[in-house]
Amino acid sequence: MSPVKTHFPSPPETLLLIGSYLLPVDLLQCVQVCRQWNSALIPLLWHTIDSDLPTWRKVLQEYDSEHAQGQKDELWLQTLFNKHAHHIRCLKVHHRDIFRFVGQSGSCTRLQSLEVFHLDGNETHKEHADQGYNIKHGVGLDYVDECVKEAYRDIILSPLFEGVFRPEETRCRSITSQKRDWFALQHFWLLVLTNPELTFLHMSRNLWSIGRLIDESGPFYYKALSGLTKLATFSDPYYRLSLPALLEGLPMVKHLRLETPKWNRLMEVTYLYLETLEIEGAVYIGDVFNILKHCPNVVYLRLANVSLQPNIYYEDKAYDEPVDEDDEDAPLFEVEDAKVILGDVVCRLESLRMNWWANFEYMEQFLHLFPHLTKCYYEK
Amino acid sequence: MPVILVSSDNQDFKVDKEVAERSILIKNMLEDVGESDSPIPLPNVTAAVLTKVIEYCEHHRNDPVQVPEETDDPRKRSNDIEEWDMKFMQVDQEMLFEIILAANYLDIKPLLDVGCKTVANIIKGKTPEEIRKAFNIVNDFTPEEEAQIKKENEWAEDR
Repeated sequence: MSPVKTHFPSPPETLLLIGSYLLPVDLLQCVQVCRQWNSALIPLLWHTIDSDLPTWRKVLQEYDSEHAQGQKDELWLQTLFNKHAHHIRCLKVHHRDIFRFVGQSGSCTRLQSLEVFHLDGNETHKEHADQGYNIKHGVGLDYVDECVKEAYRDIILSPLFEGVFRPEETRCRSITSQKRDWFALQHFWLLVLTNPELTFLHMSRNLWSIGRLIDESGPFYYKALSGLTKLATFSDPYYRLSLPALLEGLPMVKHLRLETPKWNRLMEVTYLYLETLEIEGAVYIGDVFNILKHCPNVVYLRLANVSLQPNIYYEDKAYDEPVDEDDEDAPLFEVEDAKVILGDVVCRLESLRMNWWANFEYMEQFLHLFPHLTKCYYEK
Repeated sequence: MPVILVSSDNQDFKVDKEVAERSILIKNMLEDVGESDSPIPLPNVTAAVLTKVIEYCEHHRNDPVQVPEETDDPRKRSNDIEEWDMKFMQVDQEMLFEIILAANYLDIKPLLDVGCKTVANIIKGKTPEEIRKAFNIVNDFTPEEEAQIKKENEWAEDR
C-alpha cells in the first residue's frame, strides 16, 4: 500500500473534468472552496453566459436600481467582465446589455457562439412613460427626426462605423432609447470584429429595428463577416443584403437564415458547404433555383414568402427590376425554366417548407426535380 | 498472449493483452516494443489500485472504443453511471482518488470519466464548507475574498 496519504486529485485537468459534470449552481460552491479550485473552475463557470436567465436578469436589475440609488460602484459590472470575459465562449445577451457586458475592455475575444436577442420591454419606466406620452399626443416626424439626430451626435465609437449605419428613424422613441440602441449596435459590431473564432452567430429578427445598415454599407458588412472563417451558423436580420456577396465572405457556412435578400446579381460560384437555408422575406422562384444550382448540398430549405414570378428568367428586364406581381401577363416560371437553370446539377434537397399561399398545384410540378425529397410542408 | 504488468510495489499481474490494452498508455507501449514478453513496469500504480483497475478493464474488455466527443461545450455531458460501475466505485475516498489518478496516468478514458462523475455526485448540493470537509481541503481564502467571489458569481445561484 502507498504510504502517502492521497489528497484530492490535483491535476487541474482532472478538476476540470469533474467540474464538467456539475451545474453552475454547484460550480458556484466549488469556486469558493479554495484558490486551486477557484482558478481551475472559474473558466468553466464563465464558459456560457446567458443573460436571459432569470438569475442574470435579477442581477442586472438590482445593479440598475442600486446604481440609480448610488449604492453601487458605477464600474462594478464593467470590472467584473474585464476580469472574466476572456473565459466566455458562449454568450447570449440582450442587445442593450452588450456594452455593459463587454464594453470596450476588449477582453471578450474568445467567443465561439454569440446570440443577440431583442427585448422590447427593456426600457425604463421613465422611457415608457415618455413614449406613451409621445404616442398619445401624436408626435410628428419632426420629433422623431430630432431624436435620430441627437442620438447620432458624438457617439461614433470607431472610425470603422462612419457612414455605415443609421439609427432607425421610423419608430417613435425617446432620445435615450435611440442613443442606447445606437451605442449597442456599434458595440455589437465591435464584438463581432474582435471575435474571429465565432462558429455561431445569431441576431434576433427584430434587431434591424434598432438600426439599419445603410445601402452603401454592404462592403463593411461583408468584410466584417468574412473575418469569421469558422462561422458555421449565421442568421442575418438585415434586409436587402446580397446572398452571393454574403456567401463570398462566408464560403464555409453550413446554416444560413436570411431576411429578404437583395438579388442584384446571379450566383456564379458553387458553395458545397451550405446545408440549410431559410429565407424569411420575399423571394422569386427563379432565384431559388439559381441558389439551388450553386448550393447543391442544401438538404433543408424554408421559403416563408415565395413568389411565383420567375424574376431572373423574365427576359429583357434587369434583375433589380423584378416583375410586377400584379401583372397578370407576366409569365409564370415553368418546370422547363427550372431544368434549364439547374442543368446537370442534382439537388440533395430532402426537406422543403413553404409559405401557405404558395400555389400547391403549381409548386407540386417542381417537386420531381428533387430526387431526394422526402418531406414537404406548407406553413400557415 | 498475456501481458505482465508490474505495480510500483513490485507485484506481477498477468492479464490478457486485450484487457491491458484498455489502457492507451499500455497499448502504445506494446505497439512500440512489438512482440515481446518482457514485463511492463507501472511505477505510478500500487498493487491495490492496479487490482481495481484490472477488475474494471476485465469487465469492460468488450466495450466498443470510445469516440471522443466532438462538442466543444464541456457542460453537455450526461451524469449517468452504469449500475456495475456504480458498485465498482463504492470504495473509500482515498481509493477513489487513486483510481482517478491511475486512470489518468494509464489513459483509460472511460474509467477516468466514471471516477470524475462519482466525485461530481459527491459534490452536488454541498456548500463550500461541506465540500472542504468531505475532501479535507483547507480554506485559503480570507472571508472578504470569499464574499467577493460569491458576489461576483451570484448569477449562478438557483433562485
